[in-house]
Order: sequence, then C-alpha cells, then structure tokens
Amino acid sequence: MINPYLETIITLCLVNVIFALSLNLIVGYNGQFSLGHAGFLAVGAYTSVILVRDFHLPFAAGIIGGAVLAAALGLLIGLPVLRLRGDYLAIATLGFAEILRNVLFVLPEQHFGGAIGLREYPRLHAFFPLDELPAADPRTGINASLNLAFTFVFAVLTLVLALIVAIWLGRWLGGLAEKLLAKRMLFSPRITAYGIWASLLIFVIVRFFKSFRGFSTGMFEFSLAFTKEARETNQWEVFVFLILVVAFVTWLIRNYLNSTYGRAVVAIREDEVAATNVGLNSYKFKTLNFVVGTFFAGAAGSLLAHSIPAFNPNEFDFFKSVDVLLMVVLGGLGSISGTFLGATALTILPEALREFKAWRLVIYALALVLLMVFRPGGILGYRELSLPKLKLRRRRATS
Amino acid sequence: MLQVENISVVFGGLRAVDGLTFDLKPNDLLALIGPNGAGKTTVFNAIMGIYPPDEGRIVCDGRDLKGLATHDVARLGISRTFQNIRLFKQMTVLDNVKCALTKNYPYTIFEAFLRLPRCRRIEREIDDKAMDILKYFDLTDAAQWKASNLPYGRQKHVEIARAYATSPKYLLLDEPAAGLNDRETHELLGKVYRLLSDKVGILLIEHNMTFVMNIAQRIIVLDYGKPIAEGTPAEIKSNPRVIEAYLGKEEEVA
Repeated sequence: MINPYLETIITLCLVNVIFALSLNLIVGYNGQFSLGHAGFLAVGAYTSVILVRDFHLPFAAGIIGGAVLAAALGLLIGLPVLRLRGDYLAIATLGFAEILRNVLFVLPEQHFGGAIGLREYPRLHAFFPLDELPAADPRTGINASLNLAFTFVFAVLTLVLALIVAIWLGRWLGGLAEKLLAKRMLFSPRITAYGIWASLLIFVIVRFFKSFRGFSTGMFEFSLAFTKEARETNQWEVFVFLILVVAFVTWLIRNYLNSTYGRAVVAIREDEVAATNVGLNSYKFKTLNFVVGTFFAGAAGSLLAHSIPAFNPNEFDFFKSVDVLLMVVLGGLGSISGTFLGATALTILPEALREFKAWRLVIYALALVLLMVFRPGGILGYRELSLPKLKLRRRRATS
Repeated sequence: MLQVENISVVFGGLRAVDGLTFDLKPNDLLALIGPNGAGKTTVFNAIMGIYPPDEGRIVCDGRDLKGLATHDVARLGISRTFQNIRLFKQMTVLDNVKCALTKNYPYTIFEAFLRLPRCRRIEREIDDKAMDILKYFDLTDAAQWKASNLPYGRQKHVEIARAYATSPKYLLLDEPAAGLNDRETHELLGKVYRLLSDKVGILLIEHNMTFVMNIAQRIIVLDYGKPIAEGTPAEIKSNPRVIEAYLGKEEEVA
C-alpha cells in the first residue's frame, strides 16, 4: 500500500482541485474578489461530519448537505453585497469566514468540538467496506505483473510529460533567443529577470533528477495501490471515488460555463456595462454564480473533512483562503486546466520544498512576483490546455 | 414607437440634456448631431436607464421606461453600441454574440449543469442563430477569433452584431463610423440600410457628416443639451443656427 503520507498528499490534491475550481468560478470567471472562501469550506466540513456522525446519514447526504448549507450562506452574503460595485465582496467574505471561525469555538462541544475540533468520525475508507471486495488470487501471480504494468504506464506517462515540457521550454527559449538577437537587448532588466527564471528552472530540474529515485519509488508505491496488497486496505476505492468526484464536478462546471449562465458570468467580468446593455441582469448572475461557487466549496469541505483524521476551526483561517486564492491566481484565472495545475502544484510544492525550511517562502514569493510581472493572469490565464491547440500551433509554426 | 418627451438630464448645475423631444418609428433613421459635449451620448444613457431623465418621460411601445434597470430596457427591445468599443475582449466573436442571445432561449440552471436534452437543443439553436447573425455582418470567418484580436473596424461590426442579437426594435448607434476608413464606412452604410429594411428603428450619433447626410431621414442638432434644429439633411445643412453652433457666429463688421 502507499504510505499514509503520500496518500494524504494525493487526496489533498484532489480535494483542493474542487476547492480551487469553486473559487475560480467567482474570482477568475466572474471577476469578483472573495477573501473568505475557507469559511465555506468549514461550513461543508462541519455540516457533513455532523450529518454523518451524529445523524447517521449516508455519506452522500453529508456532501450534499454541506454544499447546500454553504450555498445558502453564500446567498445570504451575496444578496446584499453583490448589489455594490467594487471589492466589498472581499471584505464581507473575509468577515464572514473570521466570524464563523470564532463562532465554531464556542458552539456546543459535544457536536462541534470547540477548540479541539472534530475527530473520530467516519472517514472515506469506511464507506468502502473491505469484506465486500472479492479476494485476490494468491496463486496466479497477477499482482507482480500488475505492478510491472502500472509502473510501466507511469514511466511512459512521466516520459511523455517530460517531453511535452521539454518541447514547450525549447520553443519558448528558442523564440526568446530569436527576439533577443533581433532586438540586441541582451542586458535589459527584462532579460535579467528571464535569467533568474532560467537559473531557478535549472536548479529545480537538477533537484528533480537528484530526487528521481525518490520520485520513481513514489510512483511505484502509487502503482501498488492498485494491487493485491492494497486490497487489504481500500485506498484504491477512495482514490477512484475522489477522481470520479473531481471528474464529475469538472464536467458540471464545464457545462455551466458553456451555457447562457456561464457566458453571462464571463461577459459581466469582461465589461459589466456592456453586459447589462445586452439585457443581462448583472446582479442576478453575480449572485447566482457566487452561490454556485460556495456550493462547490461546501462539497469540497465535506470531502476534505472525511479525508483527514481530524480538524479544528483554525484549519479554516485567513491563510487557508489565501492559499486557495494563490492556487487560482498561479494556475490561471478563468481556466479549468490552470486550476488543476495550480491546485496540484501548490499542494505538492510545500511538501517538496520542505527541506528548504524557511527558504521555500522566499522561493514562493519570487515565483509569485515573476508571475505577476510576466503572466498577470496566471500560468494558464483565460486559456485552456488542449491537444487541438497544440496541434494548431505546430501547424502555424511550420507554415 | 420610441417616444422621448421633453426629457432633461441634470448633473448638479449642468443641464446635460435640456428639453429634448422626438419620436423614433421602426424603419426610421434619426440622427443626433452636435458639437462635442452637446449631450448626445447622455441621451443614449438616459434611454438605457443609466442616467434616468430628471424631467420628462421616455415611452417605448406604450410602456414608460421610468424606473427600469438597463437590462430590462434592453429586454424591451432597445439596444445600443458604444462610442469607445466595449466588446467582451477575452471571448470569441461567436461568444460575444451568443451572450446577447438569452431572451428567447430559456432553460434552468440545473438543465445547464447536467446538460439535459432541452439545454442541448436550445444551445444548438443559439449556435445556429449566432452563426446566422455573424453571416449577416460578414463575420463568419472570424467566429472563433478572440474579439480583441480583430482589427478596429471589424470590432465595430461585432459590436453592432452583438446589439442586433438582442433582436432590438430600436438600435442606438454611438459614432459607428468613427475611426473607419472610406471602404469600411461604405460597408457599414450597407449594413445600416439592411437593418432599416429589417424594420429596426435607428437612432444615430455621428460626426462623419457625409455618412449622416447620406443615410439620415431626419436630423436633430443638439447644442449645450438643447435641441436647436430639426429637419431633413437638406434643411439642416442650410440652417444658420446649426452653422453657428459648429463654426461660431460671424462678427458683425462695424
């Protein structure tokens, strides 16, 4: 089985993707600034645990209950605040999250746990009872070959990913070199910044290869989750369940964005005056979109609660809200694939940089400053990563 | 019929529009001209409910627009374009037009989330309708372009296409020919004629006098918010008050 540390990271990645998607709906797609999104995560987490543990309801009721309550509170905040223009939403949501956090400390302890928080509640594993699983056949040796197969698949995936990154990087550096030669501007401040970027990149790559042993071991462990040993726990089911939930939520959000509702939301971000002049009720769509965003934040909170062994109100403080905002801004405002990238990167990065101790904050800050300068919309701001686009670009490059 | 009855818009001590009255019928083109700062765009903003008139009233097909929000006015069948283009820049040209296609295409948010059959059918209809509109404005080839990547002249066409997509009965065009070259202006003229033949009433603000004199059936001249002349292009051209407003009064030689 995968070691619990790696398991937690993978689970958190998946949950954070949903959480960041829900915030990107509000910040990236609608251009409304929310600074207290962790509050809605908390609503989902507490509601779900209480519904499942104290009311003995099924897990699905926990997710939906948490999401609905978060959405209701979102409506309550959105209705008065979204009538105003400007950054009032940020202040109101920030206030909401802080008030909620403090209220959670004083609510009855037998249900809400007070400062200690909640623990010893049913976790995701419990929803996939082991005794219902078919036992693996110990004689056939399928497990060993499965190991091999999955390790092979992951190796190929890694290779392909590395190739894509290398091609992009090469093209980018090539284009840069061409520009430099054309403009004779090798020593401008811009280039110095590029230089810093490049050395940082080289540094990271070197580190990556140094730790490749660790990485491949990790991947191997991941592949083990699918094999016989894993059958004795139920990580496999939990991962598949979470991946399915992420896929389903992504599908829902994509559908929403490709509808009259989603287009109205984006139009309001682009130009609110023009949007009202083509007959879109900006107040209605802003509120609706905010409620949708808080709904999914509540769902993410419920999933988060059941993925970790315990939590307390301080888990949902201001910095949690900032964390998710960073995921959205770094990955790409208004981009689903960017959100995946940002959420995964900012969940893994703090762990990967753990041995640098305080230095990781410096690296964080540097990366963010550079991002602000060169890509204000995030790595994939307002764009989606897709295969047809890659092909198109190649065609344009060759013609 | 869009009836503007003796409206005034007051900003503090400034009467930006002062006692303006006109009727606009479908299939009619009324031009609003005047020197810079005469209050022409304020008239548009008053009609759309952005700055509701302080005096007088605006009636659209028998319905008083008083107290209506901008999006409600748009839904009643009045649409406008802007002096400085206001497209949804990050969206494609097609999506810009699709944004405006909401009035006759209702489905609930749940149908949208789950992409239920009715939503899918209506989305197909919206797609077809949007492509029709783009074809009407010769923008088919640019459908998948990001709006901000289009040249200036075509962006203006996209804006008119977007305004037309709300299926307006009255269209307010704010300087559509500004910044266009002769060929583009000519193309625009053709499109405006086609809109007129589609029974759309057009209220036009324009500084390009050849354009206005070519196309307007009636002209109102505003100066410091006050209507100083009204009539056919020929009448306006020879009106001494208009010449005075534009060129200044001749000093009497003693």
